[in-house]
Amino acid sequence: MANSDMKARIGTRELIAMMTLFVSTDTFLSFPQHATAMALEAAWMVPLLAAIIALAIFLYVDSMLRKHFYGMDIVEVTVDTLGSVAGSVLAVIIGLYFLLETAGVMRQFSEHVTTTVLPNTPILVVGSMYTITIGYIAYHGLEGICRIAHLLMPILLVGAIGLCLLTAKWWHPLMLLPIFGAGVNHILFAAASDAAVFMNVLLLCIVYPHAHNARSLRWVGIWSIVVPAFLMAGFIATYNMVFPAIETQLSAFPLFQLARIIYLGRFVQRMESIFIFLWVTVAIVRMGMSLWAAAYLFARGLHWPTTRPAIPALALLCFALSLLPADVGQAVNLVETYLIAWGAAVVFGLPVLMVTLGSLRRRGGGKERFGRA
Amino acid sequence: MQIPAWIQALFRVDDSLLAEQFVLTDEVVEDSNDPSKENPTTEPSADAADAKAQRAGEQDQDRGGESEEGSPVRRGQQDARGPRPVRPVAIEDYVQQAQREEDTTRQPPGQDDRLPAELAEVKRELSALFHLPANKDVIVREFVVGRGRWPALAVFIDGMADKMVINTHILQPLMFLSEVAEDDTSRRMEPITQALLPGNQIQLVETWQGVVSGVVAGSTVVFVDGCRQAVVVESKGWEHRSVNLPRTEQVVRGPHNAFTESFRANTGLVRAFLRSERLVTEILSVGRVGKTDVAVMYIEGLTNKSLVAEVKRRIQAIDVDYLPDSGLLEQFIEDNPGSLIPQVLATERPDRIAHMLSEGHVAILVGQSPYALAVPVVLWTMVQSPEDAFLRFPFGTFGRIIRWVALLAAFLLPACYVAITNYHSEMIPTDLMLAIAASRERVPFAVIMEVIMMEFAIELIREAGIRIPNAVGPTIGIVGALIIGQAAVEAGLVSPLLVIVVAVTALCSFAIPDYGLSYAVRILRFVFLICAAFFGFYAIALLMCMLMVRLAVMKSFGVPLLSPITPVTPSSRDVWVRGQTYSMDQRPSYLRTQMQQRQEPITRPWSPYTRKAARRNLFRRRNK
Repeated sequence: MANSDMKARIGTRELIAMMTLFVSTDTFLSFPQHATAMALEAAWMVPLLAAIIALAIFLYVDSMLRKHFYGMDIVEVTVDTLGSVAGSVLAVIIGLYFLLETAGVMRQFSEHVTTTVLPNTPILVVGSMYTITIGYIAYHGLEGICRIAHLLMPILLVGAIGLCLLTAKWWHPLMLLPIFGAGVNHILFAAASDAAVFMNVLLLCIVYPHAHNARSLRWVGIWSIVVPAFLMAGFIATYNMVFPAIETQLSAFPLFQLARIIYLGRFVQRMESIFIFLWVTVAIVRMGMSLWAAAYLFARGLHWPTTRPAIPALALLCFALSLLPADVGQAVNLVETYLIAWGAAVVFGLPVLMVTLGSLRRRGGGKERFGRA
Repeated sequence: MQIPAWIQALFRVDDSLLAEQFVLTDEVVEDSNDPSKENPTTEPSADAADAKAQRAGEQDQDRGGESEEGSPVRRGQQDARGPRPVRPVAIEDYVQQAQREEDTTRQPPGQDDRLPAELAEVKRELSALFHLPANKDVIVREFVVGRGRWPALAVFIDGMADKMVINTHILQPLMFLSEVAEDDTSRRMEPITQALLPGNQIQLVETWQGVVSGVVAGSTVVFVDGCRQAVVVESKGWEHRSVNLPRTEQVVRGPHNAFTESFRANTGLVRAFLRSERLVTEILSVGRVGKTDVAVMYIEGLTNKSLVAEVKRRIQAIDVDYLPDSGLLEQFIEDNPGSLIPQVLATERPDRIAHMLSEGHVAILVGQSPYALAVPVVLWTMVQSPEDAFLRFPFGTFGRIIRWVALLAAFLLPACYVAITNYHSEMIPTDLMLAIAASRERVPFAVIMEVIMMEFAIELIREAGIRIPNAVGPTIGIVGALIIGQAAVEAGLVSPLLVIVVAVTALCSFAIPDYGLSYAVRILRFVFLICAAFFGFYAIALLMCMLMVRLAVMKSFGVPLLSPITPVTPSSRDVWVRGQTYSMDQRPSYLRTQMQQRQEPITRPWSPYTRKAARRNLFRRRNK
């Protein structure tokens, strides 16, 4: 492919920032509500346990890639193992997954905007603005997305930590008790079913050849799983210390609810508008990245010479798909059921399956083959 | 009945008035780019003389009717316009006209043609080249060398050459202080260049190109009869502004001189700051009608060679008639000319250019432009002031923080004001919100209209302020301030709080050191303003993302505009804050210089504190 995206080389820090932002976005969506609904007071443990599962899978996939398929991404591994047709099918399947995921996130964030910031604006207008922006960002390629993520990373960290600390006045640590909430088995089940929020495992298998230093990818994966896990855990713990678990499982937009109660005197109050910059920019990076990934995978699978012309069409498709659910409840339900719970099959299942099959077929020689190539 | 003369004059039709009116389009064909049509301003073809003769005939026919024959096409066009009056021509006019035509038919020599040996031929070709005698700027001074033995002539441009130099260093030694023996005529230049001309810069040329280049550059060219060479004596001496204070980049502490409208003075200023034998100044020439010198300065052995080659490649690719200023060159060589954000640093400070050269940048000086360019540039450089380096690092850092805040405020303050008052009023403390509501009670416009009116007024004052004469400047400033500040509020057109917002925004935009960036901020502010009026913070956030991603992929001569922040590249601490001078031992690695190390890691070996810090930095760098 004669596309500049195909030659993009991304530095380690930019990749870490992009992956961290990508995963952390779920903090501002329905993940806290879903985790609380399943584990009640112990919801903060869910992202930590899910991160352990994701980390174990990532380390396995990474070690297999390093050992047998050094410098190859998941599509190349599939082509090498099962042939070009299987590689194309896999690329299209993962591309569709990212496309649907973008549509789901777009709908949720569009609903947040219409319910909190612009109540009189039709969702069509809000969604179309998102579509134009993510299309523009995805059009600038992986380098642009990763660099903007690196710039926004401090805003995310300061914003998320600041939000938690500014609500300290309302913390009630006793609301985190009982420590195991709904029970250990519920926590483990929630962790297993929500582990797919760590979609960066799949994303890393795709951007593997674009890393400036392929050896540093392991650290990228570890950091981008650990940092969001702690961010999510901290945020959910704060959320559950401020609002009782029985109530938080009903809230669709925890960040807004938390920001709204900030009151540090008459001059620092009602800060929810300030946090618009935080969640809108993070959402843009998340959707821009997944849209780019979808376009990239379609281009790989369908042998398009370039990704850029497809991006406006795919952005429009995402917008159209995002409007299919009748309401936000249905949209959240679809995302949680199909893209997160069953999405684990795509996020973890496909990479594990492919690298395992590939390593069984080719015992060793990955590095040498790459070197010869 | 006798009709009075003034009434007769009213009804008299005097077509001579119409005939005497100058109409440019009569002489110019409709499509000058169409080679099939004749263009009277150029004669590129081999049949030029024939065409000229033919046209001369047509002109004669048009003017005097002496020539009966003409081109059928022209005759057809003439018929279409109707018959033209035929008038007799006075004999003096006719002679002058014939002389002019003879002059125009005389072909100037080609630039690559060799010089003739005979002085008469030299004079004839000089006349053709410089359009003499019509061109009064070019002076041809004939004289004899060595007490009447060798006829010679000197050519120079009045006003560009120093008359004192010509009189005392060229004419006087050649005419009065020389004693030459008759010798082989072709070797007459040897004694002249070796013994008679005391000029410190001379050059022997053998083609007309060298002669023309020398004369138009202010040098004096001396021809001697019998020689196929001419000697170009450096005698530049045109009037120009002396080295003066910087007008847009003033500092409290640091050098106070700026570039001026003298090419050589500018290169000399840079060299005076950076006294290095490795500082190379390559001079290129741009322009077809008028040549402009373009100096490319870099440090040999330090600056990336491919960067130097790329700069020269882009400059040499420029094919224009005339390049008057560095501002135009910038547009020819920058990576994204359509972008609002500049990708080349323009500065009037020689010390800044010297510093950037020492970092590994390439400097470009253009003709008589008082601004030099430095490439490549990153966004952060445009928010830095030269003074940051001259002050101690806490002060430099403080200044930078102030400028970053100013940049953000200049971008976003009016947009945020509109967004908050329209969409996010809950975040304003109640008392303040009531005050805003009270102040806006009398205002009959929407907030966005108010802001746009005020911003427009500020932009108007700023634009007019550039052209207001110094004598009335303060008065107009007071009037403007009164109208905008006091009268508009009292008339109920704007709210007092808005005046504060707009004034602070204007102050912030003046705090941006780079003029190009300041312009970009001014334009983008309006875009943000309109978006904020429709969608509040939501639109501002989206627009910020789009702007950031655009900046993230932009490059200046191959260097990402946001380096070294993203992509992350090793560099001394000199981006958001100003690092300690003694610890800034690395050049920016995005410049890919031939020498990465700027100074020793331990520059204060006698200080235990800085020694320890330097070792810590070294250890950290090695671990990376």
